[in-house]
Amino acid sequence: MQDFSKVYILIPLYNEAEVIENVIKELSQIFQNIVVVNDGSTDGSLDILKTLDIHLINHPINMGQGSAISTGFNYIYESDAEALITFDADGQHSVEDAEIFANAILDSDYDVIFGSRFIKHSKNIPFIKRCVLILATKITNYLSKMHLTDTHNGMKAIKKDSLSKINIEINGYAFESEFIQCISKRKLKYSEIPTNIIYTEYSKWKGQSLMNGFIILEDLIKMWLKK
Amino acid sequence: MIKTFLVILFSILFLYGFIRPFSSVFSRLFLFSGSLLGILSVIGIEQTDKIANFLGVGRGADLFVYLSLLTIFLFINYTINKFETLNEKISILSRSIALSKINKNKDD
Repeated sequence: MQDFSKVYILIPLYNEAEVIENVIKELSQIFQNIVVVNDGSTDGSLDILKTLDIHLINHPINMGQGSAISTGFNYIYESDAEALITFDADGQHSVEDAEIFANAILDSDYDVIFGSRFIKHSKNIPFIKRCVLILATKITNYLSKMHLTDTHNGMKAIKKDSLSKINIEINGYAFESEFIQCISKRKLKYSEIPTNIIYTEYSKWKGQSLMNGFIILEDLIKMWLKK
Repeated sequence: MIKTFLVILFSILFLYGFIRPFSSVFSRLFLFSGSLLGILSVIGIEQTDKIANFLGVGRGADLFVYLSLLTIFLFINYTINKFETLNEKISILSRSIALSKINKNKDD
């Protein structure tokens, strides 16, 4: 088994008590360092996390995925990691993909590797979700002048050294767009790798609703006005 | 007497809007429109009509409604900005609390 002790897995988590134990157990077969940022969960997730072999950071209140990711970045920046991989807590991502990302970030000179559902597996994405994602991607690409195929994919690999150049201020889901803006501004080297998303009934139920799509859009407009 | 006092008070507030430092231009505009609205509501319908005519709005009541809507919009904007600033501060605070109390299960 390859040694991935210098690749940290970062999981932002909010109310995933039903699945988180399995997700961590699967990941821990490959990765030694898993950082979970519990973002003020109220469903007992924290109690489960306390029993697992992980680095646990606990937000006392719910602040949003962007904030959880940002806290994770701060923690990992101070650690001995060489790179990190962001991973969704709801079991949508596969550990095999994470392994591919880990090898890719360690063996390449890219600062960031984005995951994309649209390179290979776009047919797996539900139709409405696909439309919302395409719209968000087009807007983000337009604002950041980048050429990505999937800007709101939770799986990314990032070199630790690049974290000092990334500053996330948006607490909500639109932090992904802010992240991409940082990559663009700082001229970090990036690439995309296909990922497969496993849309289970649970993840569909838990996933982002169309209303969240509007909130993302609102955040994007605010970000654009702030520019 | 009270009318004069209120007009002076709102005028001072209006002028204060020029010198007070604000974090957002909307907050400054809110103070301007709010104090103007105060002056209009005090000076009486005849004077308001004259000002409305001068501005080409028509009736004084219309001017009053327009200015009220503008003030409400600016107030909402001002409140949202305040909430966002507060949220940002709470975020920074919560994140630093979380990082200072890290539970490294691995080391337990």
